[in-house]
Amino acid sequence: MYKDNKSGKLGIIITIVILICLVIFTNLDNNIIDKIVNPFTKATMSIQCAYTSVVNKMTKDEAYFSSLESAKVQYEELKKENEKLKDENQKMIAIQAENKTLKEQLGVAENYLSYELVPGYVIQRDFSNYSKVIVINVGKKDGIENNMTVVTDKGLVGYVVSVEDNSSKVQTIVDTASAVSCLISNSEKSMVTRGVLDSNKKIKGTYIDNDVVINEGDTIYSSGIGGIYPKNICIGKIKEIVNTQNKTNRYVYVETAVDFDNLSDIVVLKKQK
Amino acid sequence: MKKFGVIVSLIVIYFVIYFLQVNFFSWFNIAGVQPNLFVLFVLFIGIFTNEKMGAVCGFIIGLYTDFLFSNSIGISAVLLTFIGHCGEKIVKRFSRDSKLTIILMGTISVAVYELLCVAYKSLFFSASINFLSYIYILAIELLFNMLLIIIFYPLIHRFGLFVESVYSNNKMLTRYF
Repeated sequence: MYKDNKSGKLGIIITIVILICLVIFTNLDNNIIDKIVNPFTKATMSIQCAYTSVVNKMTKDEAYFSSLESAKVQYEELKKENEKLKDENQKMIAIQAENKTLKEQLGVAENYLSYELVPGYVIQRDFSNYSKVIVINVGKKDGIENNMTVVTDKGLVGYVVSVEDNSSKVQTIVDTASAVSCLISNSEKSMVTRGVLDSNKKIKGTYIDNDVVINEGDTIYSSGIGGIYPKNICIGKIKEIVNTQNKTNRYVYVETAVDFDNLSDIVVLKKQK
Repeated sequence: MKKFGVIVSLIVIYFVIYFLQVNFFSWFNIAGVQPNLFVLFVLFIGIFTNEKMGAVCGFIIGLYTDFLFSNSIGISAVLLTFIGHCGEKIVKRFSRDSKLTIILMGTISVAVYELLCVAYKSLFFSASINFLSYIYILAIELLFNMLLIIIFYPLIHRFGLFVESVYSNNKMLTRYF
């Protein structure tokens, strides 16, 4: 039987602290020390500044106390003005976001003239660490069917694998079960890209012809082979070329054009009848 | 009546876990890796109720999870049914009051679940799995699950004993003591 004693509680507290530390440290950027030091420096410096300013005013400026009342009035006015500006700023941010979404949709529309576009957004992501399926807010009621291509203004997202009335599941190109036939921009040779388990930002390109010259920075497009994805949708850029002893086995890592970590707005391509 | 109360509590707990899994742990993660709370939930139902209840809950939760997230229906349902069913059987050999037993059972269950899920995915969907990346992610996931079991063990244990008292029909006749 578990005893609710002090050592048990201490153990739980220590475990919580360890867990929080792990989460924080593994999600921090490289300049961890800067980030740790900054708040302390800021706090100390703010107090120091305030102290110095008070000392300076009291010792050097005799008119400090006489102008206190007028400063209060000025403070209230500024406070009101600040509130007003904050409101306006919020409205501007909302307008900016809307403008961005509309521009993105317009960009997509220009690229895929032969398709009917169904805009939507991501409502859920797979919680599994080994799967990268997303759920979008458009489904059968919007005319979505299986195997339809999903894109953003930046490039290819994936294809619809299952449809419900008001939502659909999309297998993204970064999923390990996903394979996309692609073309390299500087040649007409194809290769196959597959998702890798440990990244949402890159995919692995294999089956590269021996005679193809590939360079870092080359853009990759969908080839249209396979019948799911239309031709010429941007997939990403070659980030790393890994040469093996046997040239046939060489592969590349492609940085995806779409940022899957922050993916929200998408468009489903629906063939016009 | 008490059984009905337990079932309602389990449904509420499921939705809390669902919220945590989908929303909270998507940002509160270790190196981008999330724990798997559904497996732990089903396992604890199996341990503290009985095989039948564990299997039924495992099946329902697994199926629901498949409907919501997976592109193939059934794999989570089968695996969680198995975990729920085995929970009580395995714990009979050990003590369910031992924290170590619970931690080990939780860790092994998650490992088995993830192993079979990935094996299924690579067999039937031709998923390309890099072994080292897989081990790395799995190790973090197991560590995360272990830490969560340690933190929530007192809560799990108390609720578990209550559920157990409802589901086991051994009425204690206190007047004879």
